Amino acid sequence: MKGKNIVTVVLLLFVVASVAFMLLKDSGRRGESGPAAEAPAAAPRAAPSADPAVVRHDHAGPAAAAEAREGSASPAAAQGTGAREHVVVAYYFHGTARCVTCNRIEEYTKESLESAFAGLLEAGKIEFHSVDVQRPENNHFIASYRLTSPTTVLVDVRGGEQVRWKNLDRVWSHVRDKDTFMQYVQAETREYLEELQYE
Amino acid sequence: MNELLSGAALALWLGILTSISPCPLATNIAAISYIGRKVEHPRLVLLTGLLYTLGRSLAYIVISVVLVRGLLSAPHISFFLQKHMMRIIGPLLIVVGMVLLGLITFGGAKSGTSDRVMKRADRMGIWGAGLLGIAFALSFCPTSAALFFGGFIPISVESGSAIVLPLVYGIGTALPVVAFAVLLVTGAHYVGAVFQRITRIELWARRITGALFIAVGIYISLKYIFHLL
Repeated sequence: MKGKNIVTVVLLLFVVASVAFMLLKDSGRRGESGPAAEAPAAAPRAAPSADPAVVRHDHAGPAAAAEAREGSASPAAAQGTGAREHVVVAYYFHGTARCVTCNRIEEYTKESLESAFAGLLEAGKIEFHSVDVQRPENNHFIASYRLTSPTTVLVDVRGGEQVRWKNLDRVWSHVRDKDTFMQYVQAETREYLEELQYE
Repeated sequence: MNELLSGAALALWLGILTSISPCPLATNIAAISYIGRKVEHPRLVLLTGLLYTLGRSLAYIVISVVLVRGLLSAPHISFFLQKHMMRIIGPLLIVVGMVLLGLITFGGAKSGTSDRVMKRADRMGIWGAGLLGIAFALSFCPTSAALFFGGFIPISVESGSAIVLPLVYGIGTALPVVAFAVLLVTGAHYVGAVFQRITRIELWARRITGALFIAVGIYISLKYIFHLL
């Protein structure tokens, strides 16, 4: 009976601690997300590939700062892409809680780019960033790229302006076959690069 | 008609894919044990499975109606549910598991009355399967969100079917779970009948269900609230 009571108390304490941690974290995030998230540079507006709208795309904003904190931002991203003519940015967007398939999509995307475009990555003409969209400062990416789940998005940036983007949503259907996955990501990236006359 | 049929077949397949993908495994294990815990009464198992399926379908129908009518955008619903539902489900499963194990009793019941309370909880538990179905359907993990919002919703929106296709998708997500629960119960029933220990097996099935709920609840809390796993 005593053991049963101890188990009950421990489990109830765990439940209370979980709820308290959740509430504290949420209130802390609300506090820290205020002014930074509202900074204009943080929000590239939605611009689907069919939409000719030209928008600002500057990595030096809070989003880049968040990426840097995750240790995934390249030096080029930290300096901002605005100074360069043409850049293709490959984002891997994910949530705070990861899953096996999500990690694999990120790994394959990275590998696809590194194996086919090492020189362009080195030259800073292609960038890869892994972004947690559930961090308050990165929330704007959800609406901008109409994200519903972890995915890879290619963004065409010219002179610091985002001119088009494409959600490579078929990464989910190809993730079980690494070769097909890599061919898919490389073909889509190559299409963006060809139009930018990189090759 | 043919379009609806092919859409339904695709919805069923996407539902099954959702169910057998690794990330909803934890909640599926909890659901299997919950549906299959009434070893002594195979009919109740089927009824519980049916209500669980209907609960899931209902949740998907509501989301589809909201999206097809353009009341809310898919990105917002998807990330809202991914962020909040799993965090609610974790502690909730622990509490339900504690009730199933009799660690928590309601109305200040003393130990002598705990059996009566547990029987009442069991009766409510059949209807609870519907609620469990709704809650688990809404608990999107990244893979299920990709399959539902990225794979299924475009088909549903294109066909304009906000009722039939989500119903079929819900059946697809519950099918492997219910089938596995029925197989387990059939096996346990057979073993119990051979050894004339069905009542004993049912008691253990309830205890295992409670323990699994607590284990899955702790796992989900550690992963989605504390981000430790």
